[in-house]
Amino acid sequence: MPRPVPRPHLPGSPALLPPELPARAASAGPAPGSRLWLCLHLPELSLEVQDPSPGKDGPRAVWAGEGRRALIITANGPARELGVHPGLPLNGALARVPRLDIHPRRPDLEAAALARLAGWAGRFTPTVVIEPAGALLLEVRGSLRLFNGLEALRAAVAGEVASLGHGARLASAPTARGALWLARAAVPPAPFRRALAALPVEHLGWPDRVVRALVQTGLSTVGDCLRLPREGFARRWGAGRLRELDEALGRSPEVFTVHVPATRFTASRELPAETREVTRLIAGATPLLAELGATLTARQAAVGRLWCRLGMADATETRLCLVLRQPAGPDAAGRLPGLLRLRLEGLALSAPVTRLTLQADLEPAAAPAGTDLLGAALQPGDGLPALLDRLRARLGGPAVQGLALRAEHRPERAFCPVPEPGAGGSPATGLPRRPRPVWLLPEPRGLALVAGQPAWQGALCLEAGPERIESGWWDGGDIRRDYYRASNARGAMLWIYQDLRTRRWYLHGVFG
Amino acid sequence: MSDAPVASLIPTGFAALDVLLGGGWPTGVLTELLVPHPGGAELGLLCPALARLSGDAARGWVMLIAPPRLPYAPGLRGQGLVLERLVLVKVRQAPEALWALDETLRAGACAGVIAWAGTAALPRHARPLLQRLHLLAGRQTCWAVLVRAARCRPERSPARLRLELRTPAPDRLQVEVFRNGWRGAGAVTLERCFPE
Repeated sequence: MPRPVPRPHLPGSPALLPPELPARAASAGPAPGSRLWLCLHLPELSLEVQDPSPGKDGPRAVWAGEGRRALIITANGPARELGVHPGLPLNGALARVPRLDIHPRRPDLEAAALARLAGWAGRFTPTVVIEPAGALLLEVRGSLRLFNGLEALRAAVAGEVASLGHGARLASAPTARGALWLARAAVPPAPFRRALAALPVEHLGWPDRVVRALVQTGLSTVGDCLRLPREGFARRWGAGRLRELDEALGRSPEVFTVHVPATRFTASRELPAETREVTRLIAGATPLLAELGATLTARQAAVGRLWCRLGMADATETRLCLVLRQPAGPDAAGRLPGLLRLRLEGLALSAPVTRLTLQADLEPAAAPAGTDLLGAALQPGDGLPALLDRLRARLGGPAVQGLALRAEHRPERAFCPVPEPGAGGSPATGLPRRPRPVWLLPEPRGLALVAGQPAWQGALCLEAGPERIESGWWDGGDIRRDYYRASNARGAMLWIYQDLRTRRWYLHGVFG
Repeated sequence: MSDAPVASLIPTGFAALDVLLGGGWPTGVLTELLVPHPGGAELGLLCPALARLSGDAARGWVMLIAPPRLPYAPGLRGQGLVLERLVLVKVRQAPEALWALDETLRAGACAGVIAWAGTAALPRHARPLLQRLHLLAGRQTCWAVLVRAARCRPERSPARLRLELRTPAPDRLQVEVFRNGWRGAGAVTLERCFPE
């Protein structure tokens, strides 16, 4: 027994809604609030992701389905001119146009293309939603000022998506579903609710049989559906469809999964010809690096490590990893080719390279280099990270280090190399009070005795000492030594010691 | 040879040498220091200036490229070096030291750089590299010192300041400046001091 629906909840006819108000104001409902969605509908996505047969501009179509129910789902312009339309059975299409170039649908490629486009769309707004049926939804309210208004933003999006090789239909609306429906229908711009009310039901993405039944009962537009009592509509056509209508109108909140862009960049390419030459390898890597640079710009990201995999002709793989002390951000991506070149020059390749793969983990970019936040000029020394990256790329990571002191009595352990210059602090206590040489021999060198005296390039004359160093009994590396400063006839000033357990003499350092 | 104006002078820490050099070590030129045995007294000669540069964080970093022995941190600290501003670069073969010096002068990130070019004479193909180092040094306000073995003295060199260091006695350093731009040549004997 249908109860009378309270008047305020009745889906009002379009005439009852304020059609004269612009779309933005029409969505005064609480949930969508101040949102503004821009939908990019990609009607020919399933065709665009297919490998184009080289040099062919002829009729092409994509089909999906099994056996006799295989239907054309997308056809290009030349095919449509010949009468091949979406919905036509595959057999019928081939009968009509025998030279039709047909491809089976590739949902995997479509999903990958959508994900890539979503990453690209991230440069317009952080809120990007993927509609798996071939559309992207961008919440652009917060981006309007940056792009000088909706029209300019639409133009920018349309221009870029076209340059990426996709045909897109754009529509904007206060609700995501509304924007999606309007984009599918490609209706001319009109106030949102009027445009929605006039929308034919076949653009709502509902199954064909539902659409046919709706049209047969005289409900050919969204406005027709809205005139029905809510409960009656829900019972006859499903509560889900009523909810979709409510969402499109902004009467009930919409739930989305916002696209989270992948945090790893991967790009790969076959080289035009196999090669060992660094110049050609760099030329081969240039498009990949350009793609990485574009990704970094779109995401305002940086890379701290770049993995390069070289696929060889003998089916082996050489991997190398560029570690950047200063992550390369969007503005610094230009130095990657130079670093890669330095690294490749030091590489002995066992076989010619046929394939290049670049991988990088994206991290948030730091403030742009060049000036600090207040625009102050660079300090001397700010170029050091880039310099260290270049040195390490050619000489190897451990070749560049800093030095730090350790509070330790044993001379050979009183310092340690630090991987990052400037990172090591010095202990405040335990530093030697006696003079120390500026050079140390990695291993103490045994000294010969001449007339009972230690000698090194001539007899040694003890100038100062002894300084007794006894330490390390607790860790097994214990020493008992008497250190002296000694000179020889050549004017060298040396740091020598006598091992008190063996009574033998050693050279340990050289004074400057 | 271009005699670009010397950017600034760094006191050497030895009064007599300052007088001989006209105020101190020149920056913005390539200095070639010839020593009998690399890895000996030269670091004592250079340390006061290195310490001064490393103590001034606004000037940048100091770098030692291809030192022939292990620079000993407690000793450098004892000479006044601020180790947090020091970068060590090791190389596998001598020509890489010249390459690293080239990169460093290009980057302009260092206030001072000492590079050891090995003991052997430079191969013929490396000589244009020296010329380039000289030109690069002229574009920076960096104190750039190339340490070479004394037997390389007869070789042609574009360095604007060339000097040779000898140790006639354990407590003496003898510095002979035999080219210093338009300034005259000369020699001084300095006292080495080893604080107890």
